[in-house]
Amino acid sequence: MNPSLLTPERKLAMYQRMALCRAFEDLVNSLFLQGRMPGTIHQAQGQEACAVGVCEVLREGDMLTSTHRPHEHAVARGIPVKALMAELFAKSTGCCHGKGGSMHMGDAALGMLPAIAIVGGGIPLATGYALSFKYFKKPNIAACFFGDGAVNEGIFHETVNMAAIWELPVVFICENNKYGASTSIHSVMKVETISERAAAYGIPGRTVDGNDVEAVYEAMLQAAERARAGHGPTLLELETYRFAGHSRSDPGGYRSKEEVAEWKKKDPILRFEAKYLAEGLLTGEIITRCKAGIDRELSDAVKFAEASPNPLPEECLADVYSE
Amino acid sequence: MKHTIILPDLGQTTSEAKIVKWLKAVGERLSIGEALLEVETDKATMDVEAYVGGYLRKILAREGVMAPAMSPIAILTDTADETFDEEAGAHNLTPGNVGRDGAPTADLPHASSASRSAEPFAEKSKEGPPRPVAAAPAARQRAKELSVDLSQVTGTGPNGLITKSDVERFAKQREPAPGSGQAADVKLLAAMASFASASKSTVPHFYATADLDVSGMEEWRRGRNALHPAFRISVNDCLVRASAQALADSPRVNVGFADGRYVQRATSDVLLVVGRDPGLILVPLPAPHAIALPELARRIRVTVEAARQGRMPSAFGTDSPLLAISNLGMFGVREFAAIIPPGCTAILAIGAVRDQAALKNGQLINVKTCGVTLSADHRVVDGITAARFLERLQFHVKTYESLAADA
Repeated sequence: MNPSLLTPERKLAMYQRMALCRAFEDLVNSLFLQGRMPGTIHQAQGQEACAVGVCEVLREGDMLTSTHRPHEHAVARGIPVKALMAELFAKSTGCCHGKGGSMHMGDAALGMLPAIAIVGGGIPLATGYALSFKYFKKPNIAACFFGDGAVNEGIFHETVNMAAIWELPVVFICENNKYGASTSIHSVMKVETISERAAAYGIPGRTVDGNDVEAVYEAMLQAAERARAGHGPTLLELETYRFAGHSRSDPGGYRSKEEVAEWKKKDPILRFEAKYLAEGLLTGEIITRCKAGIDRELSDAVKFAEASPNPLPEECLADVYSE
Repeated sequence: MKHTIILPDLGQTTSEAKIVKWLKAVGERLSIGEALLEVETDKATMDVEAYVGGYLRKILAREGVMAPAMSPIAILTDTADETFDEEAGAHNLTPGNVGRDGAPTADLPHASSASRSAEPFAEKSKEGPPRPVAAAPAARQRAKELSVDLSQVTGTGPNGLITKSDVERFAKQREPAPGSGQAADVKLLAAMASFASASKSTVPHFYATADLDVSGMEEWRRGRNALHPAFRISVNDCLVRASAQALADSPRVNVGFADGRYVQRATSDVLLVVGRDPGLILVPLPAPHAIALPELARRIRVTVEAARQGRMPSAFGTDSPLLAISNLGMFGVREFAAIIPPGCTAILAIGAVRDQAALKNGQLINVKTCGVTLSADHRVVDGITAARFLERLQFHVKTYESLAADA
């Protein structure tokens, strides 16, 4: 890759985004423990490099689709944290006007379709966007997050194949966090990697260290350039791990303590800090300042959310059908 | 500063959890994110971390107890020896008004709350999680005297603190206390009165009682519920299904009579009589014998709860099922005879399951027995038809393996 693309500023920006993603998720967990937030939340601590590395490549007008675990995708895509927090508090100022909640984070006007919690549900929608970009000759691409649990769904095969034959500008991004809820990927898939399935559709496939934000960025950049140039889709497999259970009601007992500890050593944020503290790009002071800024932003978001009004009953049917 | 730790809402189907073990002792220090206790939900055993660091000062929920979600379970303070108000309520939180699904909880139906009605917090679940309230000690005292629920009172003191005069103002404004005849109660009672006297004065009732041997059913149920404690199947669920099976075998019971005309009903639907203190609600259940028992149990729970909240399913409209079922067994009633609801032909009244000594091959054995009484409209059903229906009911209860097979 062209190293000039990853300027020090860009690296720092990505670090800051990852830290914001993590702090957002940690705060949501704390609000949950305090009884201020409901428990049907799926958290993504540990997967920050995937969200940030991918979104850093996306431009205005590009469209992202997400999953039941969308908080970090939305933060990384730049949906205002206030609108996300208000959505979690079910307030009318939320990104879905308080009617979507945790599993529908997003704002189409800002380049992220409100997330779809149905496993694999975003795959055909992203491809539909890609078709429209191609048809209307727009310079944009669609990017589509899904988990390892989605790759054995029929919709995955059908849609990737269709995107391949029509050479649509879409990037399929599998966040392989090794478990579909409690099911290990290796108990439901015979091939070693998800990316090798790309060969079946005649498109490039790549397995990437999903806890290395620079590696994710670089892989996504290549895939996006290929899509923008009209050469069609790419399948990216980002190997990562969620530190928490599948949802707040899941203690994750199907994973060994050793396995979780091993992955915590590969924490994408700590890894970035270790590398760039050594290289001098980061200093203790930069980190402290960055975290203080994030704390302020998040506590403002909570205040904003708590002070916001509830959705009105008469707005119940608004935004349900397109006029 | 004091921090109240609540039991988070960790369950998937219920809103309570068992306190398994405290991982910290009173006086011990813990840091943010550290595991404080172990709880057991309907699905799993898991740790609850502290959302704030500090010293554990008081444990409010003992090991082994079931605690409702959102209830205070411990108190932490910032320093080891600061004094603190031991009342759980007053702390620094302003809970958001969001429910389990992220929706405002005001009208949120809780499918499982029927089984939780005995909990102290169930009453409040309609308004969302019980709010920890900040109130002055004098206000608390006054609230006790006036039987005022502090969570309902808006505080006008500093940071929304409830003052004594807030409590008194609230007490003045509130509706008359229950017992002095609320309008809603009168309406429900009047509805019950007109239905009962219409039925009892125009429909010639007769009654047939049988003791069902439910030993096999109870044994199967015990084993099954031990395996799936979160999805329990009740005596009522089993008997509703068996009654629908018996009804399917007894087309002569499934005949409606109105305006001098007899109409054979094709489907074996039943009408569940649900108590709603006071008054009754009638909940139609379409063809329960065609539904696997666990799913039927779930549907009964959800439908009954919906009916209790006033959202009556209108699957049948005026075309009501002809067999009604009423159950007072859970109250220990041995047997009773019920009044046939208007539009129905018969009603099965289910009593409690009791132990009955019996002789079998010269041996004294215990038979789990359930007394049931069929009240039937004699214009449609005669004694033999009623007896045959009860016989079929006993048959389906006895061959319980057939129910168990698809469970």
